[in-house]
Amino acid sequence: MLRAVWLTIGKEFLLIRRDRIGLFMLLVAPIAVIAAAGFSLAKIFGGRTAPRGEYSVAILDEDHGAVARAILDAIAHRPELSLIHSSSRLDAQQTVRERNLAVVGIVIPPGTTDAIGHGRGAQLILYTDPVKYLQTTEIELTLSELCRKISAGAAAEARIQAAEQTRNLTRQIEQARESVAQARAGAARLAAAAAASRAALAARIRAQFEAALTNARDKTKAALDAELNRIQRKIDADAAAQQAKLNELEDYLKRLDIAHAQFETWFGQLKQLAGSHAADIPPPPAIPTLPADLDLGAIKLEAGAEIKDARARLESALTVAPIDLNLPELPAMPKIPPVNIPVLPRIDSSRAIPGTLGYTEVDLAGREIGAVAGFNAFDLQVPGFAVTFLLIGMLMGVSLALIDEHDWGTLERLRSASAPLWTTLSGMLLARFVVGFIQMAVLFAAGYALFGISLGRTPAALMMPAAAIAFAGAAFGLVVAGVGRTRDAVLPVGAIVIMTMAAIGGCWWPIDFEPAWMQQLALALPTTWAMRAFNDLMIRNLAASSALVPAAVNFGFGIIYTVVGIAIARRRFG
Amino acid sequence: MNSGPMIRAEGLRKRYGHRVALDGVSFTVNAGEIVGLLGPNGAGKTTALLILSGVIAPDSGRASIGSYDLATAPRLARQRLGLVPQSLALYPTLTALENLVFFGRMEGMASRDALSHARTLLEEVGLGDRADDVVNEFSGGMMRRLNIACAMVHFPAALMLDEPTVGVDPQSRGRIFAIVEAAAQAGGAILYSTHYMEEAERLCNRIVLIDHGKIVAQGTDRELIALAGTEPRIEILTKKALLPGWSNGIAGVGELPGDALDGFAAALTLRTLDQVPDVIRRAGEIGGEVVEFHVHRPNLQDAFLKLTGRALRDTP
Repeated sequence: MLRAVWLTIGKEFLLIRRDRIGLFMLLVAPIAVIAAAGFSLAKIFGGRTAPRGEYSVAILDEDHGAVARAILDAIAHRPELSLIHSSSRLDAQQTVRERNLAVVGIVIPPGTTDAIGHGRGAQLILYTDPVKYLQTTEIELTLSELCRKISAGAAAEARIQAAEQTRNLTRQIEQARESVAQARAGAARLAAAAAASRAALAARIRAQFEAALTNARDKTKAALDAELNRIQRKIDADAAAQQAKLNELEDYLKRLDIAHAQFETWFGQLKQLAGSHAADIPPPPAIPTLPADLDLGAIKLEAGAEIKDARARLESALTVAPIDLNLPELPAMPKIPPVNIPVLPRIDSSRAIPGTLGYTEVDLAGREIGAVAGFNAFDLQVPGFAVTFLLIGMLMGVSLALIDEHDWGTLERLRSASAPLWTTLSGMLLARFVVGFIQMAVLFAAGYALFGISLGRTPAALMMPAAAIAFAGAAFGLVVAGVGRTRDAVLPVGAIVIMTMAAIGGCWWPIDFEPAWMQQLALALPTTWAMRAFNDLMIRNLAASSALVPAAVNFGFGIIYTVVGIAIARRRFG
Repeated sequence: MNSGPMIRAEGLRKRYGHRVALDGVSFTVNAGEIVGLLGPNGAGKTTALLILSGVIAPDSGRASIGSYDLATAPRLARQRLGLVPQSLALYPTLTALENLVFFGRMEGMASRDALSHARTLLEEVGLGDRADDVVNEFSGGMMRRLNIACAMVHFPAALMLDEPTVGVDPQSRGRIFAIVEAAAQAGGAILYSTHYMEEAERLCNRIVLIDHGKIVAQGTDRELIALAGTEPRIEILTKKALLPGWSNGIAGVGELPGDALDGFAAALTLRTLDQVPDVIRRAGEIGGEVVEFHVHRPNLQDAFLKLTGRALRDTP
């Protein structure tokens, strides 16, 4: 059976080789359409495919300064732009809107350079034509980038100057700080010497003072001791006399006490003798009793103790405490006034001068791709139209070929031969798959040679989505052949389906242009997955592995289409 | 290979929706024999051929090529048959040689054998000098001959031709007849479908008359004519009208009704062709002068008409 498949493949290639219109549609027509679409749509994607001097710009320099020169120079160096010098603002306006000679008119007002140089804003004046929206947008982007660069350059220059000034100031402050530190060190040394002298002087004064004080104390003590001895003696004599009298008093009181007791007894006897007249006897006068606690015997007059105490107190009073000389302060050292040299704050030139906000685009691999990055429109158009024409080729190659086989009667003859239908279908599918793959390869090669398309990091990786969409496309052709019963039916149905698939799947424009619901719908189409893989590899410059899933999905589509297509074809042609 | 029929149809039945295409058709074709499948358009001839060539399957019945049943051994059966479809079955953008080689190789031939036999066949069908021309530059007759050659390239034991001379010029038709006869002489079993009675009579050893999916009769042309019981007929145009009963007196003739005269003044059935002179003489006597006469020998058309009640070229 494989033999029949191979023979069918060979026959298909022979038929394709003879079909000049088919070959034209496979290879030449796509290149022509790709060229037309790519050159037409290059502006949309910011591609650099515009011919030299395609856009003219009217310019009026009223500034005549460095900024104006920078703008003129930058525009002159853009190959896609050519300059038309205007003599007046009216001339610039007319050049754009009436004479239609330029896409935009740019006026550089007087004082622009001065304003920028002194940190003020400046505005260019643009005359635009609303009809030329795309071209105007592209030039505005260029101009915007130019303005940003000029502003950034001026800011950078100012920042450099500020940094230089800061460096000088810092150096001077550092020198001053060094001088102050040296003065402070000298003063410290002087203060230390003065303190040492003062301490020595105080010690000598204290010694002399203490010697004088000790002498005075000794003399005073001697005088006091003599006086106290004299007083002691006098007191001792007085005390002895008083003690003798006290002893007599004590004796008297003892006798009084005995007489009192005897009186009581007598009085009692008197009352008893008075009988009934006892009551009339008036009470005797009360003899005062000695206070109970009066013990005259216990009284000892010892004047010497007081004197001892006084001597001890005087001794204590004459003890000289350590003397605090409390010398008067030496005349103060002349103080070095604190020199507060503030630490110079770190000067951030970016804060001193307002910075410029810009951006740098990087690709998905992290590589810088410039400030305003577009892409070569052919990076989209070549795979897009290659897929479109691949599907058209499949429509002709599989659908129409199968119907032709039927109409020519050869399918009937083959079926009467020992080759079953599936071998014919398989051979046809395989042949068209190979043709489709070759077609993709040729179109990509042509795209690379003619339009400079990117082949991504790994050009060989492009084979994955190319093979997958070729397979899915060939299988889809089988489905269309089964659905459309005649050439007249297949052509419009196939064309509509293919055009729709190509459009929605992002073959003609980035799928992101489409609304979200349409993008969701597009996931059901093999074109979407093919373009996702090609865009990832060629435009986003991703690794080869990024194409694995889209390619697998399309192989899945291919298998489903094959199963459905063979089932329909067997009912239709079996 | 056994010595029995090479092509065998047994009780073939095929229905397309409500329409019965074949209704119990059975016949055989032996090796070296040309059997004509004769019937009007829509009689079921093509359906029978498609079943016998394995293109379609019958609803019931059995079709076999040699000893191989197309239902149980389709590959072996198909290798032994060649089909010449009613319409051309050629790749128009390939050359004659490429067409032949491709079909030969699809039938299992080695490349060298296919090429060699293709060149031989092209010579045989008169296209030797056009071998490398693409087919869409050929005339209709050339295409027809190439169409037959494509079916014969792999030396099939059974060759089935479905109306191979439709739209073909006389010269090409003669070549086609020669090809078919040569194939039969080479031992091939030929099943030749046609609605041209003359072709069947000219080529076929046996004829299977088919109509409305059924075999009406089969046998040699003489057998069929005899079976139908048709007689020779003479049609006469005279200056004067021949009134009914004008042929009384001639034994065994019968006057046909007016609606069968086909523009002639009178028509008679004859018992034998020997009665023609008597009839002419009698018509001249009664009708004045005989302007024109036409003697019609009984043929398959008459037999078919007799057997089915309709002409071979009737539309279904």
